[in-house]
Amino acid sequence: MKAIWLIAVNFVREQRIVLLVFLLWLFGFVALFGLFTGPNGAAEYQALFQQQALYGIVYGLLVAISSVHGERKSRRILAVLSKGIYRGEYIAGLMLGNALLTSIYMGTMGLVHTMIMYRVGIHARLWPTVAAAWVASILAGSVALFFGTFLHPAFAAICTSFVLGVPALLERTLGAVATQIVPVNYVLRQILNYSYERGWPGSWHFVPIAISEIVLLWAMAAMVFSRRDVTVAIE
Amino acid sequence: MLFKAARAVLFQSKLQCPHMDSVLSFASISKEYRSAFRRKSFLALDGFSLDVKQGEIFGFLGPNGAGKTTAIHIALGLMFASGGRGTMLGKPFGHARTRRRIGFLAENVSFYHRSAEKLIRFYGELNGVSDPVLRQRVKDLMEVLDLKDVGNKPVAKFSRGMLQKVGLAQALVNDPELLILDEPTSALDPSARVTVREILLRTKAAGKTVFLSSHLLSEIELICDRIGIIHRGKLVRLGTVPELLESKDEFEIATRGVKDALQGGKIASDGIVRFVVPAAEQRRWIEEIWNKGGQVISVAPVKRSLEDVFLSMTSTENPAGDHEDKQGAAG
Repeated sequence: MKAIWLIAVNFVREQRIVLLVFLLWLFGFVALFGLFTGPNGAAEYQALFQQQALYGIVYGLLVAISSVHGERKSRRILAVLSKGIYRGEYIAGLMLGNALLTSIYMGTMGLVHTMIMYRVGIHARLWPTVAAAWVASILAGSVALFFGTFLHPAFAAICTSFVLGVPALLERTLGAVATQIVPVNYVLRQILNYSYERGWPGSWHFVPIAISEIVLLWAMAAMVFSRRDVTVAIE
Repeated sequence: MLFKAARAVLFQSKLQCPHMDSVLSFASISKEYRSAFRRKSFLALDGFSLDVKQGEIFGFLGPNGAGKTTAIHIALGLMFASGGRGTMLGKPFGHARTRRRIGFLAENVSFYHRSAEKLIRFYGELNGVSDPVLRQRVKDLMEVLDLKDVGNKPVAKFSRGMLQKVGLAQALVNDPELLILDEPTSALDPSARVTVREILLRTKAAGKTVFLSSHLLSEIELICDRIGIIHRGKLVRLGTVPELLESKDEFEIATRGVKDALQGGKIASDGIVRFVVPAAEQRRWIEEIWNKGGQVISVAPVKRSLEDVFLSMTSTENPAGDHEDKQGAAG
């Protein structure tokens, strides 16, 4: 367990510049809106919140997609995997690191928007939506990480988009239940339907499905990665 | 194909029984790299066999692309063999928990952007070492490797040589039973090389094993007990340093009193004439010297430099495995 935690914290450290840029973006936009829009800009605040929640999901995905490839390309993976850890622990570390990163992002986003809401006097329930976006972000990152263990990031991105988009395609034939297959798409839709008045508009059935899929994706990624050479030419 | 399969079955028992006293054992390991869509392939290791004994410093030599790093990475489980099998500290290659007893320094080592001290701690903790042992180990290594003054500086600002020292420290932080070093002294200055040499000798004195891959022949010659030369994925020479340096093909005959009678000798200042003769003609030359009234002082195998041995084994005209000096794999 300690190895997983060490790898996760190290992963967050390595991504700190990108994280900082995202956090500055969060603060910057909200501050700008807070300064210029004032209490009458509730609709703008809401749109901004929805946008930042969606970006948070994409952020988790983007960071995860090239994590294994980047480690292999930089050869840093050699010193890590030559230590007494299992490949599954390594993948779990990256997943946990990705979850920590998105936690920081989502937590900061929720905090900043709560403060702005409080300041301009709007009473809205943000946190359930933040939590849902966080779970979706971890799931999207897990799908991306799974493909990233054996594919070049470009191909991994294509495959991830396909997997995340499949429920939307299946919805036409299977109905609304199809959106729960890989519920990232479901959460995205609920965020788009979010409003200050209604709060989180969706159900929470997707959470156990998402958690099960995250565990399954970890197991699959660990299995695939355990059979991969990590030091051959990767291009 | 059928023959290959039959041979694999017949010799399986031999492959599965590496030497009991060996800490690192490769048994007929092969590794084939395939390009995308499997159009091109390259055989990096071709039935490579080797046994490294406990407590020795083993020098692993070979030209670029010979398969040294591939062999090391297979042993560590960083890549997988296409064929054959091997053990490290008695466990099959790639056994994760066994790697806790191993120290490894990769060629062209690359690290995360942290301070040297934190980085060494990080790798120590990954290997299951914890405080207070870890704290003491890090402190000792920083002192021995002269990293004490730069311990708090990020390694991103380090020179190649300094990075190499950090690499050595992270390899040694778990006090490994087997130390595998891939080009450890390539970027070090002479004083740091001496330090590393001392560390390796101390490691050996503590009963531990060092597997040292290097291009620096002088280093290898100086500290290694045995040397293996790999060429085109095969072990082409294996032996102790004296064994390798002594030629079995040529002998040097030192004589007195035949200065004018025989041609071709090298005359030393003390009047001793030395002839280098092929092993097969040794007897004829000795008889000739006696017939000419000369005196044979000594007959000894010609001593070659490690560089000569290395070049003769790895020259492009010498296909791997065809050399007459070849000694079987697994010493």
